[in-house]
Amino acid sequence: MQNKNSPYLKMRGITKAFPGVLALDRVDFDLELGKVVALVGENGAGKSTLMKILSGVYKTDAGEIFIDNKKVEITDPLASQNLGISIIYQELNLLQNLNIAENIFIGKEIKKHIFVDKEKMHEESQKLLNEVGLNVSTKTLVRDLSTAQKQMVEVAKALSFNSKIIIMDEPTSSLTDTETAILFNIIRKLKSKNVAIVFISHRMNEIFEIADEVVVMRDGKIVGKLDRHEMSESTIINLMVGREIEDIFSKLPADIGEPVLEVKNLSTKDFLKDISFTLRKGEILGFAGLVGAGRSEVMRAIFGIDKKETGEIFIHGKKVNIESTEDALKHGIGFIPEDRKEQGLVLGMNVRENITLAALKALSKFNFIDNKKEEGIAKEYIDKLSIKTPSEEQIVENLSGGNQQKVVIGKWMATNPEILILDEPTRGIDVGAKKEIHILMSKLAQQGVGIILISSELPEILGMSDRIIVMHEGRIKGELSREEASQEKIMKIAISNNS
Amino acid sequence: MKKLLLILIAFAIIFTTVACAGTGKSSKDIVIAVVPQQLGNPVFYDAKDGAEAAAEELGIKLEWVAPVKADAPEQVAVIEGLIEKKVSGIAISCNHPDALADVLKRAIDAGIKVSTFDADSPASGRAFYAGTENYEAGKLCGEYMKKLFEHKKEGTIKVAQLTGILGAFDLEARMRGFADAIAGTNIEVVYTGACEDDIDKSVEIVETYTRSNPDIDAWFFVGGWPFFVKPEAMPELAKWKKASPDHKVVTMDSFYPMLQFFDEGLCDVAIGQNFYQMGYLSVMNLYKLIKGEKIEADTNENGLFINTGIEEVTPENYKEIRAGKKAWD
Amino acid sequence: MTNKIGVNSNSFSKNILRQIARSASFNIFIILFVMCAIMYIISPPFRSIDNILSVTRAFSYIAIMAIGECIVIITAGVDLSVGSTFGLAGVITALCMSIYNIPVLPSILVGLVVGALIGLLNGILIIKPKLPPFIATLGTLSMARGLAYIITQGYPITKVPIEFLYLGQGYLLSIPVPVWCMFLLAVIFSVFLNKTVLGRRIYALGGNEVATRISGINTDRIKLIVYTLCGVLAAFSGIITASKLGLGQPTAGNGYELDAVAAVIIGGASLSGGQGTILGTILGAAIMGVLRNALVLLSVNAYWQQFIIGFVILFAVTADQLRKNRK
Repeated sequence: MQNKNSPYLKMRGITKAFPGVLALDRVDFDLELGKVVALVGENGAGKSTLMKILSGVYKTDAGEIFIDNKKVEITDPLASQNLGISIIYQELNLLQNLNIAENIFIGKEIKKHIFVDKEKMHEESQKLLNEVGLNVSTKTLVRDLSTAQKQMVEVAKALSFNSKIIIMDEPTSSLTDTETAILFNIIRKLKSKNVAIVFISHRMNEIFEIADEVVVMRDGKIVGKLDRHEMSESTIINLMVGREIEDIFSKLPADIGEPVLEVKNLSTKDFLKDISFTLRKGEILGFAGLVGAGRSEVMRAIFGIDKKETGEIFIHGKKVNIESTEDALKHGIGFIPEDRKEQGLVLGMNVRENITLAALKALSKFNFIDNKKEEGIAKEYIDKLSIKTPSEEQIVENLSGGNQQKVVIGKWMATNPEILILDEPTRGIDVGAKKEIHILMSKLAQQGVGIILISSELPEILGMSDRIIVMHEGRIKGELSREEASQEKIMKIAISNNS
Repeated sequence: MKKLLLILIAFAIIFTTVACAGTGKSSKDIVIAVVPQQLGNPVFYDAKDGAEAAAEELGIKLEWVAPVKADAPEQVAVIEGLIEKKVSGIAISCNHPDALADVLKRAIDAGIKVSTFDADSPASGRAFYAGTENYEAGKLCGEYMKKLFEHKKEGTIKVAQLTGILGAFDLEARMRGFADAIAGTNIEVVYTGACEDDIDKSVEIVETYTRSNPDIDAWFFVGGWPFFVKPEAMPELAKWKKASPDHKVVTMDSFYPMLQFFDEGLCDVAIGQNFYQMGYLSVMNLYKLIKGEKIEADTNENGLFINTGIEEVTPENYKEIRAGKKAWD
Repeated sequence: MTNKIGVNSNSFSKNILRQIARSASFNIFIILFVMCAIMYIISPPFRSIDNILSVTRAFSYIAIMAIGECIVIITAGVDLSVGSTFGLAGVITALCMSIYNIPVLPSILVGLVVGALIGLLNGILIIKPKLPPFIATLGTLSMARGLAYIITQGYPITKVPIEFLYLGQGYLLSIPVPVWCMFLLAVIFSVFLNKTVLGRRIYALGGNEVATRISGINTDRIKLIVYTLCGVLAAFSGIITASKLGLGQPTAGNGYELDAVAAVIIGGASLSGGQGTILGTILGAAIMGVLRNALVLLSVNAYWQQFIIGFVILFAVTADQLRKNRK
C-alpha cells in the first residue's frame, strides 16, 4: 500500500446522499501533482458535489481521503485550505468592496505588531498578480474588475496559500478566447510548479488543449477515465450522456422577414457610443466581442434597465419610448439576462411562479390570478422545454443550471415576445440542455421571433446566427453575414485597437 | 432733531450700562431656562404656566427646553447647551438624580444658578429643590388607604399596584412611602404591574388583572396613566368597583382629565402634586438668587427645600378643585 | 373519469395537510397552542370567554399594524415608522372630531390619509434617493412623532364623541369590533398576497428585486404601494386604539414598531425578504398578546416580564430557523 508512486490525492469510495438523490455513489478519484485533470459530466452528474467534499463544503457519508498516503479528515473549508486545497468557484467568492490585496490576504493579513502591514500586503499581492499576468493596481476595488480579472485574482489568491491542489469550476465560462489563453498559460505555469489541477468545463476544445486526463462522471459515478491520446469529442460526449449527439449546433433555416427592431444612434452616458442596427423577423442576430465590449449594456439600454443618453428605437417601423422594463415588456421584448441566478430567477419561488412571472397580467382577471390558467401555462412550458422537475411546484433553486435556464426562457416564451434577447443563454449548462436550447431558438426564429444572441463562445455564435455584429469598447466595430463569418475574422474585429 | 435723538440714545445706553453695573444684571438680560424631563409630557404644562407667569411678573426671559424622550443622557446634552449659551439660571426636573449631577455641577461652576423641581438631584449641589417629596406623597396614599379600610380589621386587604417604568426614581420613592405607611397593618400589596409609561398598556394591565382577580380590595396607581382615558375604556374596573362599596382606588396625580373618574365613582383618592407652584416658585427664587438676594425655604437633609404642597382630592372636594384647574381640551 | 377526479381530490386534501404541516405558520401555531393549553390548565381566569376576547382585542391592533409590516418585510424592506404613524393618526383623528367637529367617519378617513401620506413619503425616499428602508423610516419615525407633539403640544385629546368609541370598545355579535377588523383585514390581505398579480409580484420583488425588474415589472411602483399600505394599516390600528381609550395621545404607539416587527418575524417571515404570511403574522401577534396576558394573570413580577417576552421571541424564531435549516 505504501507505494511511492501512488497518487498525491486519493479519494476512495466517496458516497454522498441528499434527500431523494444519491449524488455520489462510491466514487474513486485520484490526482497527481503536476497534472491537469478535466472533470466533465452533465449538470447533476456529481462533479460539483465531489469537489465540494474535497473543499470541505459537504461532509462525505462514506469513504476515505488520502493525501500523500496519509488519511485525512476534511471537516470544513478551513481544514481543506490547510491541507493545501483551493477551489475557485463559478460564482466568484470575492468581496466586492475590498481591493485586490485585501481580498488575497483576507483571513491571513500580514501584520506588523498588531496592525495590518498594508505595504507588505500590496507588495506580495503585486508579485502574485505578476505571476498570473494581471496588469492592474492591487489597490483596485474588486467590484471595478471584469469577470475575467476577478478570476485572475482568485487564482492569485489560491497561489498565496501555496496550494498543492487547485480546483477550477468552469473558470472559462465567462472569459473570452484571449482571456482563456492567458488562463491556460497560468495553468501551465502552475503545472510546472508541481500543482495538481482539477479543471471542470463543458468546452471540449479547452479540455483537449489543457488536460492530461479526462474523468467523465454520470449519475454520481465515474464512467470513464481517458488519457490524452484516448480523448475525442464523440467519446467524451457519449460517455457523458450515454447517447449519440451528432451535432452540437443546430440552426434550422427560417424565413427572414421585415425589420421588427431598429436601433438608431444609441448612446449611454459614459460607455456606449452610436449603436445602430436592425433585427428582422425570424432572424438570429449574433453579438460577438470580448467580455466588457458592451454587448450586455446595449441590451440593458434597449430593455429599459439602464438609462439611454441618446438614440431612438423603432419597433415594426414605429418609434417607441422605452423608459422601463415595463415598457419593454409591453412592446413585446423579452430579455434573458446573462446571470440567471442574480437576474433571471426568483430562486426561492417555484417553477410555476417563475414561468408565469412576466405573463401574469394575461393570466388574471381583475388582477386576480386564474390558478387553472397559470398552472396550464406552467405545465405547457415545462413540457415544451422538457424542463426536468418533479412538479411545477418545485423551488427553482433545487433545479440544475440547464433546467433553471429553461425556466427563464419559458418565462419569456409565456409572454409571446416578438423580440427575444438572450445574453449568454448556455453558459455553464450541460451539453444536452445546451443543444435543446439551440433547437428551441431555431424553432422560435422559424415562428417569426426576432432573436438577439450574445455569446462568448464563438462556435455558438457562428452556428446559430444569421448575421453577426462585433463590438469593441462600447462601439459596433463590424458586421458579418453567416456566410463570411469565421472565428478568425470575428476575433480580428473584436480585438482591433484602431478606432 | 437727529442730533437730539442721538444724544438721547447715547444717554440711554450710558444709563443702562451704569444701572447694570450696579445690580449685576438688568431684568431684561436675565434668562432662566426651565427643563422638564421631556417635551410633550402634559404633566409639565402646569409647571410651564407657572414659570411663564413668574417670568412675566419679573420681566425676564424664559426658555422652556427639554429632550423629546425622557432620557437622562439627552437631558445632559440639553444642559450642556444651556451652559454654552450662558443662561443665568436653570430649573430642572431630573430624569435621573446621579446622571445629571455632574453636568449640573459644571453649570454651577460656570456661574449659573441651578435649582431642581419635581425630581431632585441632591448630589449636584443645586441651590434648592421645589416640589413634593415623592416619598411623602406615596406615604400619604398609604395613609388614605389605611383610612379607607379602617372598618375592616379582619382578614387581609389585598392591594394591586401599577407603576410605570421600573427603577424610575420618583415612582420607586412613592412605592416605598406607600409600603412604609401600610407596614404592620392587614393591608398587603399582592401584585405590581409595570406599564412602561404607556397608557394603552396600563389599561390592559388593570383590566386584565381586575378581571382575573376580582377578589382584590384595592388598586394603587403609582402614577395616573390609566385615568387619562375615557372611563368607558375600563369596563372591568367599573364592574369590579361597583360590585362592592369596599373596593377602593387610590391614585397618584390629579390632572384635569383624571378627575372625570370621580364623576363615575371609580376613584376614591387622588394625591396630586402642584406643578404650577413648582414652576412659579422655581423661577421666582432663582431670580432672587441671581439678583444676589436671600430666599425663604425650609431645610431638610438634602439642603434647601421649597414645599409646593400636595393636592388631596376626594369625592367630597373634586368638583371644587376641578373648577380651579385649566381644562386640557 | 370519476376515478381520476377521486385521485385528484384525495391528493389535493393530502396536499393541504402536508402544506399545513410544512408551512412556516405550523410551528408558530404549535407554540401558541401549547401556551394556551398550559394557561388553560393552570389559570382558571384564562378560560373565561371574556378574557379570551379581551386578549384577542388587546393584540388585534398590533396584529393590524403587523399585517402592513409583514407586507413590507416580504419585499425585503422594513418600516420603523409604524409606531409613530399609529400615534399621529390617532391624534389627528381625535383632533378632527374634538376641535373641528368633523363627523366620525370623515375624521377616521383623515387619519388614514395621514398614514397613507407618511407611507408614501417612506416609499418615495426609498425609491428616489434610494435610501435604505431602515434609514428612511427611521427619519419619518421621528418626524411623525414630532408632528404629533407639535399638533397637540403634548396634551392628550380627550374630547371625542361617544359614537367614535364603538370602533375600539364596541361589540358585534358578542365579538369586539377590533377583532372583526383584524379578522377581515387578515382575510383581505391574505387573498391579496396569494391570489392577486400584485401580491405575487410583492413576493417576487422580495425574493429577487433585480430579476423581478428584468421581468418587466415596475418594482418602484410596488414599493410605493407597499409602504403606503403599511402606513394606512398603522394609522388604522392607531385610530382603533384611540377609540378604545377614548383618547388621542401623542405618545401612543411609542416603540410599537418593534412589536410589529417581532410579530412578523415570529410569524415566520425573513428580514431578507420573499417570505412571510399574514396567518403567521397574526399568530405571531397572538403569541405576544397571550404572553402579556399570561404574565398579568399569573401575577408574574413586573421585573421578569420583559425578560420573558424577549426569551419567547428568541425561542420562537430559533425554533423556526432550526426547522428551515433542517429543510
